Amino acid sequence: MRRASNIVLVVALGLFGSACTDAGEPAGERALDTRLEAHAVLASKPTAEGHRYVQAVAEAHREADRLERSAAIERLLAALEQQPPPDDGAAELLHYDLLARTAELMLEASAAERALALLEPHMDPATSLPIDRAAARGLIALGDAAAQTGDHRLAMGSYARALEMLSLLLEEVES
Amino acid sequence: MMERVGLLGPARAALLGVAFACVALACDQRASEGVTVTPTDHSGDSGLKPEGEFEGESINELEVRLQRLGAKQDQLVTAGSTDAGKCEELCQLSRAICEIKTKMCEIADEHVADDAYQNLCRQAKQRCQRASESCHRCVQHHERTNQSSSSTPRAASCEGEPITR
Repeated sequence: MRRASNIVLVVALGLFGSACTDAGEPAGERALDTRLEAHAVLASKPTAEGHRYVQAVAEAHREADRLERSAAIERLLAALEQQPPPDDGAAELLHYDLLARTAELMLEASAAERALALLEPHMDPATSLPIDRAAARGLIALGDAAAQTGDHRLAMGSYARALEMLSLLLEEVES
Repeated sequence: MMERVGLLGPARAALLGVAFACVALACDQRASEGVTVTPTDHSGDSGLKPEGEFEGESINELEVRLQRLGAKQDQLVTAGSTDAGKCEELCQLSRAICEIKTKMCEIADEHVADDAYQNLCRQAKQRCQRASESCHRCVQHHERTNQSSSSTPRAASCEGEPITR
């Protein structure tokens, strides 16, 4: 797949050409926000720190595969405490994939509030996300969590952002 | 009439037959290569020359040729599977996009009076349709160019699967 991997491309995309933000929102209610801040996947230089991170995440996934759901969630959460090395594209994708899997397990366990609390700080509309399926998967999980908790604005915004991300990926494959 | 037929003796008829066969084969080869040759003069010399060097017909030379053709076939097979991989990727993305469209429109159905929701649903449908068409086009193109491939993704599967790994 073609990637502009060595240039950080930061794009602010309002879904379908314009961001939907509701000016006349009742106080306390979340606005419908479809902004997507995104960047091309960063290049990865082989570093000892990056290698350690990859190994730690792989080990967490491997162990989670063997555990029952609640134990698997705890194991993955423990792995999420470790931050990916900065400017390491591969590590960043692993981080979002780990986040998404953890949230999906929480949703399966009917713990939507917990999934929401996990994902929101990482996938805020102001946070730049790598243009990759891992980030799209996280946005979908965020949408699912919001929908299950009855927050339709957040759900719609997150799905719209995921749609934009996937459309970018589709265009990349088509070109 | 009989006289004219009589002028074509068996030897002349055979020569004419060979000439017709050569012309037909030449035309057929050009057609299969997709090359259009426009006649520019009638001198009888088309200017077309055999390409490459004479490769010989000894067992060693044929073996080298066989190896080269084998490598070429491998390259073509690889190119074919790359196309299939691209279609698979396009169709996976298409399914994911259409899955999100379904979720968005379900929410929009609960807010029928809200224009923002309705617009997002409508635009998600357009994205889904466009993505599905892209998947279908890719699969059809791949099927046309590689009829014998059995690993071609099905066009009917362009919608409706969640994005998971």
